[in-house]
Amino acid sequence: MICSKMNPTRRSVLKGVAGAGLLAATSSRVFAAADASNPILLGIQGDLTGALAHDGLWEARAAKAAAEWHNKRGGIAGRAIKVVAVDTETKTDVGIRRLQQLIQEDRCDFVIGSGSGGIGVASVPIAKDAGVVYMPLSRTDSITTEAANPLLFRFVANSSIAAKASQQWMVDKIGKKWSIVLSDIAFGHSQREAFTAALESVGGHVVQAIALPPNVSDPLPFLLKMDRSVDGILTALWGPDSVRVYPALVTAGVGAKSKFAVSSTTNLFDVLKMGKSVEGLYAFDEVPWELVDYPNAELTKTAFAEIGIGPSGRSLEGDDYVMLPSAIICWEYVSFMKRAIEGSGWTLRNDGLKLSSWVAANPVMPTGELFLRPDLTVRPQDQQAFADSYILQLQNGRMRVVNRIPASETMYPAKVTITR
Amino acid sequence: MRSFGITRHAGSVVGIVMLLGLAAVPFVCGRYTTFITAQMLAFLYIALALELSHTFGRVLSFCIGSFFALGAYSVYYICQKLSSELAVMLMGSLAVTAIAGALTAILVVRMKGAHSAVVGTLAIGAISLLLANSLTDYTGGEDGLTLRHGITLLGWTSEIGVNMATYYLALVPATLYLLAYLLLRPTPFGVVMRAVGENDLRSEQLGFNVEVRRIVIFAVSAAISGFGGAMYCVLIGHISTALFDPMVSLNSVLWATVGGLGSPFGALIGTLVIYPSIELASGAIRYVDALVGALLIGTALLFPRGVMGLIERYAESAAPPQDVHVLEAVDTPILSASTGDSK
Repeated sequence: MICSKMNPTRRSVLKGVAGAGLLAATSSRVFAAADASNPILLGIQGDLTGALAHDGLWEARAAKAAAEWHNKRGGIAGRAIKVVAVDTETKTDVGIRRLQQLIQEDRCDFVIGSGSGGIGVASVPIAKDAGVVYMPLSRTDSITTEAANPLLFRFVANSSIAAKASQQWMVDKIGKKWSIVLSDIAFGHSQREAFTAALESVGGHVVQAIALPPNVSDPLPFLLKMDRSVDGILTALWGPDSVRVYPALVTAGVGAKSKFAVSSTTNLFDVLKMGKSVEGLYAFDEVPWELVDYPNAELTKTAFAEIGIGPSGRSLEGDDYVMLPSAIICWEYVSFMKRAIEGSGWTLRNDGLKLSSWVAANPVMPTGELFLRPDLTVRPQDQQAFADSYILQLQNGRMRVVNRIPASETMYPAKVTITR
Repeated sequence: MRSFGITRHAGSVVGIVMLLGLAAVPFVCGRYTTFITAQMLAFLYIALALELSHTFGRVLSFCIGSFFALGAYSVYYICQKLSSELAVMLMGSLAVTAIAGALTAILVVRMKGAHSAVVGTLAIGAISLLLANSLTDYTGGEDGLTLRHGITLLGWTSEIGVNMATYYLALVPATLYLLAYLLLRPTPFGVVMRAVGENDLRSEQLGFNVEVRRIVIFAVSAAISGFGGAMYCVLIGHISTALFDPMVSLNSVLWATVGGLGSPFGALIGTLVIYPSIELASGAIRYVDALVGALLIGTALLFPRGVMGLIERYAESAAPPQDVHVLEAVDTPILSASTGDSK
């Protein structure tokens, strides 16, 4: 009976082959899937509430989307990426506590840092001491100057990059005489110092700088001191203050002239909904807002769709504004983890220096679905990344690219050289 | 006849057990729990300071957090400019905050009525925040200043951050303060201080200089808060003007109120109950500050005497009748404001 059952027929052989094929296919899928039992832990030091809540929302959303996208494709070196997000409440003391939580309690090996300058500055030494790779969204210069270290990689443009990228264009297209309106925080002062030096290097000059207290309820008394003879007004504002400052500039009678907003702060509020008070405003940004303005729009579609951004650069769900640079850069941070971990053979927290050395030897990120910005390069001396940057202008309710600045023109001399 | 039964001191016993638990934390808990506990110990000093100024100075000080911040900044600058010896840093910070406290007290104790003093402290707290934010060259503004400096502790090399030495440096002074408070309370000195806190008019009639005593109490409470700030700076290694936020003082009011005003162990118990609860809740609730407000309102409505009140009520119900009688007598104010009777 048993023997008769074992006699192979053509049909049973075909069934067997089909079954084996199915098994092989299933097996290959199993092997291709990321190993979830030994994940790589990525912490998000997110500003989920407080002044930078909108930034934090898109930061967490993009990092999670990128991790899921990579996990579906086998993860990183066969290991799944597990994302742990915490809320800094956009407060420095809470941000430090949450970073300690990510490092000590959640055992994260990589952390995407807060967009707040204060939290960023305070977090860098903590992450360094713990041997954790820290990738901040804060733009304060000192993070990649005095605080630079082998475990710190920054893909967002700092004040020096923004100033270097914009200086010539500002003088050529708008004028030589500038006024700066800044929030009285490290980011604001960092912008003031960088732009003052940059403008002077190309024949322009800053005639006054008006510092506003963060979360100022009425900026008008400060803005009335504005020198009306200036050619342009540079703003470096704490996000939520922008919605009060631009209308106040118009009220003060100085807003009719061309203005210039810097370093992606135009993404921190819904600038497109502000109407005539901002029409014609220029903005420096690391990324274009609309999909069609991306040099590799076809490949950028994936990240936009996975994160939940529509072709116009606004949220797919509802008509909400998006903190585009943070979202795109968080996507690229996860891609960077994949490239650097697989390239360097990083397996544990102790391998941080090995990872840093590999990146120093392979500083150019290949443009594509993983790295959306062309010519993205991590400078080995301070591990600050440089990429093409853009001057955008608000035209009829749309933020369009008016000038592209090549990465090579944004590169300022390194102020430190880290030792590995 | 006096009873020294454990029920009479139930709140203090609970507090001492909690102190023993805190002493064991570095040995039985992980690094993160130790870090959070150390940070909580730094904040405990604000609650202790608030309780002191409220009980003996009759001022619910809403600027107590400003002294905490001042203590933190004092340590930063002493470390950067004068000495990296931790003992010098802490003593210097105590001196700075005590002087600042005394100067503030000269204004506050002259404000007639408890309400005007509260409003006065609130105004001082708000002004100190504005001042700190406008002096960004010195305070670092909201972004703050990072203390990365080699330090010594009585000549031995130590470091900024939470470690065994700094953890116990935060815990031991609080423990000594609480024990001293417990021991001094029934002494003639303690009785006079309580009298000054409870009825200034009667105390003055009895020949005590109330104003000077209140200034001293306020200065001491400022120094205690400043010591907490100094330890915060040493433990965390970063300070910012956010420490001047009146919310810091409001949190200390919450801790002391939930624990039970009128007893230093109330401040300890309140801090130990609320701080970890908020920390745990922050993982699940997005707007934790709303929870803080709700807790304060709930406590004021349901447990006006806080956790210490609950413990005492439980102890009273558990005690034999004679103990209850003695407890009532002990809890009677030294100088009753309503009747003017002295004890």
